[in-house]
Amino acid sequence: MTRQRNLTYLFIILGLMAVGGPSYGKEVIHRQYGPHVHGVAQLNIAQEGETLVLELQSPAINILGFEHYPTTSKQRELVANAIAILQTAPPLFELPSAAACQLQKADVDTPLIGRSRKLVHADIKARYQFQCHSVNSLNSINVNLFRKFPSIKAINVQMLTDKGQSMTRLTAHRTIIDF
Amino acid sequence: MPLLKLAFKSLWNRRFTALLTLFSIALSVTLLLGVERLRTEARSSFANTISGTDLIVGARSGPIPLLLYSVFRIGDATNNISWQSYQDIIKNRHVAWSIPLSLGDSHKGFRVLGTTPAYFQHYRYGHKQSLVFRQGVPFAGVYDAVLGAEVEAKLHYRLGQKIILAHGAGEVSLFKHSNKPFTVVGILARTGTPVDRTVHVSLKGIEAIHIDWHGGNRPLPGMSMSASAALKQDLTPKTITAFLLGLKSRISAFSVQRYINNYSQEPLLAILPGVALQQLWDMMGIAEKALMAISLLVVLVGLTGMATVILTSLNERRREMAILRSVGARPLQVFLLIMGEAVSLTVLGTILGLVLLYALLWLGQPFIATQFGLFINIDWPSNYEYALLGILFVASLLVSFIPAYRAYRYSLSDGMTIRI
Repeated sequence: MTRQRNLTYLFIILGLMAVGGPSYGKEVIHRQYGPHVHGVAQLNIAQEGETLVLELQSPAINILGFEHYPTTSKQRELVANAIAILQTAPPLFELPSAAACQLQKADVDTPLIGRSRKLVHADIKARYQFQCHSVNSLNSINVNLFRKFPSIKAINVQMLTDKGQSMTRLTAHRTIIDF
Repeated sequence: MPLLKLAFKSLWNRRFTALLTLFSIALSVTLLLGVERLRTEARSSFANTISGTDLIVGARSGPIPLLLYSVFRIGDATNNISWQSYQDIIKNRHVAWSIPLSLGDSHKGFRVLGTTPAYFQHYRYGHKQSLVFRQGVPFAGVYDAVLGAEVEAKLHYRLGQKIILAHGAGEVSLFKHSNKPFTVVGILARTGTPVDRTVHVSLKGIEAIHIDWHGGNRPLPGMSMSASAALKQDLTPKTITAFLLGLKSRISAFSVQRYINNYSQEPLLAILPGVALQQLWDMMGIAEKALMAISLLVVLVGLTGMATVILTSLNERRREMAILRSVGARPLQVFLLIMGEAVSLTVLGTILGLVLLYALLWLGQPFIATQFGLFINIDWPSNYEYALLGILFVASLLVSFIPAYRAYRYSLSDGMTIRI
């Protein structure tokens, strides 16, 4: 009995599918977003040979206090200031002087200085590339972001170094990354 | 020394209760060290399983499930990923090598892994060690198989032997791919990782044994395709379970990871294996701490039990004390006698506990390896374990102070005459 009923359901479902369900498979996914947690920033560290790259990504609200398109001159000033602060890496990331690291490149990027005004949950990204002449002395990084931007409560750190992959979490009380 | 001897003899006189106390201390030591051992061994076993791989890519789920099913063969994939996406991604200019993984079949309880010869070339475990062939060569033909060390040890296969793969990963499989036997062409040296428990075949082999299966159903009678006929078909797989990526430089790992995670044709997930492993530890950390706390409490219970047993025995032993006093023992010596008793109980209990622990490890090792894919090394106790035992010893001294002091008071007040 039940089997017959199940079969009936099956046919109904098959019929419905044939008539016009959404056509999966052909459609390409365009609606996807990365994580965005207020108060939390992400820091990626990669080292290979003498090259050290730091990538910081944070919701703009942690750094500016807002994350919509700047509309007033004060907001535009805030954005410009934040970019200027982020562009000077050495006070933000203290590297051991014995490692002899030199900043080669610093790029700060955010849609807040872009064209599109339709922004929700905008991020600020910064990328720093260093060259460290004695990599063996590179054993820790002190991150000063918490003092500069008190809205950042935690930083999730991912590290790829000669020693392998690892992760750690920094807070205002724990600002040193050990290699 | 004569005190210890005396303590021991006195204990022997009360051997039944003493034995029970000894046993409870031994069990608590076994538990304490066992928990510690499992924790550290599980960690090192996990950490040593994969190295040198920059990214693992699978269907979008979570980093931990992906890590578990792709590398440790624990659990199953939520989805497969298409061959086309795989081909697309490995064309990325940062990619140095890739290893496709196709799971889902089994052989007598061992997982079958479909892959390419790149696996034997690029897969690294422990401290970037590569896989070594103890016998034979990597697979070249469609129906060739390479066995892990444990598979060979358990099933006693030789090179050239024909084996039949079973559909699905269950222990008992109803459907077998019996019309397409595989030939053992290589046997890997032991690695202490899940690789040992894997039967490796080519991706084409996996495709060939399923070519006459339609929609996940086995072929109807008379519809199955022979092994040689399948070879003439296009054996490019349509899907794989996951793949490992090696990059030219790890600097590009984050950008390649982003590229894959934002890949719009298919929801994929790229994870950094080392980072995912640490996430797993962070998650298990709480359980580990709870287990550790419980085993510490059990030790405390064991020691308290010992103190209780000695305390209750004191009343019955006032005569013994009086005799000792009459032959010239000072109250301090009575104190040390009770201490000596507790110390001998703890030391013997610890030794018995260690014996029990190693017996359990030795017995449990194959079971843990088959059930959880974890390899527990049987090593001498670590420094940390010695430290734990040291703490246990000190704690037993402190606890035994109570009955010893009590005995000391008794012997002072009683002297050589007992007033009961």
